[in-house]
Amino acid sequence: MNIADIVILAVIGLAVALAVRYIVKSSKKGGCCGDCGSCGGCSRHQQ
Amino acid sequence: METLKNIKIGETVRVESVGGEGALRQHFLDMGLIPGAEVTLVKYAPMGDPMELRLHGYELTLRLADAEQIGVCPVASKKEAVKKEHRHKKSEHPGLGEGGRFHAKDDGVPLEKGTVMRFALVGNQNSGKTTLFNRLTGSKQHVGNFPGVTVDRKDGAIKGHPDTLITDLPGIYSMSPYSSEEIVSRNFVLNEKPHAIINIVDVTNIERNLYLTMQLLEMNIPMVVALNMMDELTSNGGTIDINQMERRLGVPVVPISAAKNKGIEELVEHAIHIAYYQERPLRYDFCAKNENGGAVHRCLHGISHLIEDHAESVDLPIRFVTSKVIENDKLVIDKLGLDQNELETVEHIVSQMEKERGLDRSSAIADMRFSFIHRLCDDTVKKPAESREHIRSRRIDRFLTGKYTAIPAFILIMGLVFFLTFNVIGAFLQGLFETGVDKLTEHTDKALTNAHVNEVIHDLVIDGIFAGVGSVLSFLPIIVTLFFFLSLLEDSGYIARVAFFMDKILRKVGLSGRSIVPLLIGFGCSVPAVMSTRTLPSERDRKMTILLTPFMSCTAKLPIYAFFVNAFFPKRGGLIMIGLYLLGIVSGIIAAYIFKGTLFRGEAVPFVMELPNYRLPSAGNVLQLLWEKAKDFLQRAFSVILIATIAVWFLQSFDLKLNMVEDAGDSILAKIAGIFAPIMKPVGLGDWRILVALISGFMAKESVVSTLKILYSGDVASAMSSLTAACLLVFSLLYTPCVAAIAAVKRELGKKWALAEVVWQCAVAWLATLVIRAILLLIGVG
Repeated sequence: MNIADIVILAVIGLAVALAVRYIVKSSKKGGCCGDCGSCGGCSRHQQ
Repeated sequence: METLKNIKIGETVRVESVGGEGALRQHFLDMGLIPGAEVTLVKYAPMGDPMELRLHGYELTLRLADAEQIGVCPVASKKEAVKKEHRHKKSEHPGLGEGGRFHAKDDGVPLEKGTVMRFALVGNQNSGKTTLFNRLTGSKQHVGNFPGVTVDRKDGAIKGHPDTLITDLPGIYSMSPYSSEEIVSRNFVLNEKPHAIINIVDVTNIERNLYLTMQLLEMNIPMVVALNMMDELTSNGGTIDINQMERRLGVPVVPISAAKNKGIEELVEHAIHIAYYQERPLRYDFCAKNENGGAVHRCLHGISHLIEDHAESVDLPIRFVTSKVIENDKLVIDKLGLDQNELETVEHIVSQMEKERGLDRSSAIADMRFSFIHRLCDDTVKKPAESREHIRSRRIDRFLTGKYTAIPAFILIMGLVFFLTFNVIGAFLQGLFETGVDKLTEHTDKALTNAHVNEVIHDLVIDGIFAGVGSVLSFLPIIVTLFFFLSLLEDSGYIARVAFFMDKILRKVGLSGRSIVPLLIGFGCSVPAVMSTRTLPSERDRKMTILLTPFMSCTAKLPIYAFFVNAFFPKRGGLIMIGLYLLGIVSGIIAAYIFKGTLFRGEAVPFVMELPNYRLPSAGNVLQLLWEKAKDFLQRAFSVILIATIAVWFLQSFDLKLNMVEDAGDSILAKIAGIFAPIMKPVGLGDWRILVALISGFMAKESVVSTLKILYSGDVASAMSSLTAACLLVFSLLYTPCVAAIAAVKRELGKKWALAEVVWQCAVAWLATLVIRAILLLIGVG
């Protein structure tokens, strides 16, 4: 394994980590029912 | 009595009575169809139903069956001529919402320092709320020229004022909840109790817009009225006496043009002032003591005293709940917890009022509000005879919604959109993009070879990531081009017309014309399509439309079609593309018939919708939307598809003992996919590689192509027969929508419906593929 292999693997690892982070983050965003008092589960509360 | 159904085109009549019941009847009244209102029949839709009416200066659509419930009488044709010309006198500026006028400078009871001032942006549909929201916050939410673009609330701080939070709410016509988006707005104002309301009023349609204003004033929350589209009114020769209107309404009134960024600073100043000092409206009592014998006035005040304690105990504004109790709003009455005695007293008072006024309860309240609005507008508004925008719209509509031209024009426009997207602009740009991706792959391949990179890593980068993500990326131009045309159609106001003339056709399959909007958006993406069903006022229509959305082929499926058409049927590309879209539509129609006869019996909701004027789409708005779509696509390509391609590469390169395999048939992926092979064999898709591609397509449709490219080592065309390709195309068209769309269905309808949608679509796809395969075998395609 040479330095190029390590660099490429690190870049791919980083890209995958960022991709997973993005997917998790966007899956948490949701629509709003307007009744925030008894809901609290949409993107508005994550700002 | 004559009904609205029987009047002639161009005839003007006066409404005598409004039939029907419940929320729909209330909606008629809220839209201005009240006894005494003058209505002109503009035209019928090409198929004779629904009809387009003009009332209170705007266009409304109504089905003949609903028009039959509205009793009318002829109106004196010369009424307009005898209407006296008002000359507006100069009046002093009341200075509401400005320091040192309503209260002494640095006086008043301000909010505590550091309090985040919460504003609600409320207004009618298509009045420019989102445009104003974008101006106020600097954000870039999508705006359109169709009633109901905003179906969800959006928040942001006003530019330069970090201590503020403004919420853009879906457009509503009144505080009587008719559709679920209206409930979002009403719940927000009632439950979240914003510090102030910014009420946006479209001055080109001021009477109907002020109807909501009057109900908002009843909420007794600090409020500022923003008179939007003032530039359009004044350029057509109209004017508004702002000072007098401000004095009569008892809240600050600011003329603005959100689209041209005029008056925004003044609006912000006033809004912050009234929110900070909690300056409530100076009046919310608009019932005149002597008007029509004072019956409505006495009824409102009598009931107001009777239920005052209940309103205070549940912390609801007294005037608002009084009106709602009279209108028999069950939600409000239940919340108040009135005892039997009080309920009976209310009924007696209301009955007396109905007897004295000669109108039913809801009509009497609506009439009281519209009477005030007419007096206010007579005294403060000088309307242009007919705006240039309206004249232009009328002329365009002669062709686009004409009796014999509407449907051919629609087919021509949609055909042109698809032709330009797939054959001309999109295809050309895709070619350029593909060349770029191929060149990049070639250079990277060379660079990796020269750097003596490990063979496995080299394989991962070139045959995994570049083959997967690269192949999907090349479809970006086609998707952006299709969205460009769809956004042009929506922004111009054409989609609202499509809903108008498609109503009769859609009603045959149990839907209303309004369902055409989510279905057309479905050709772009299923997620916003599912969300946009919130504009539909009935739960039945919503569920049915959501379940039909996946039949409309979304742009994410385009890479699959384009790839297979190019590889297997290059000479009949256009025909097969159109065929696939048509197959989706036909399957949707069959499904709708099945739904109509089983799950969703009954009739679609009435079609009551406003038709906006045509507008030239704003270049900024269109570019913004394209950028958002491109960004979204790129984010998906570098997130979901990247992970999927790496996972697929890994699973097809290693066996269960994590040894690299020579033959992909021995890989982990082949073993997993083999479980489903017996189910898919009858439809000709039993190959494990195809199964894996379809499973990965559940994450994102685009990854079907990338997965196949990896699994077939880039040579799909020679490894698959035309028959298999055709079956795969049909199955991809109809099988379960992607996980993002299913998540949207879950949000709207719940887990059970979401799961049912996955199973149902897979079953439909399986069945349709079986039929198509049998037909193809019969005609000798092998």
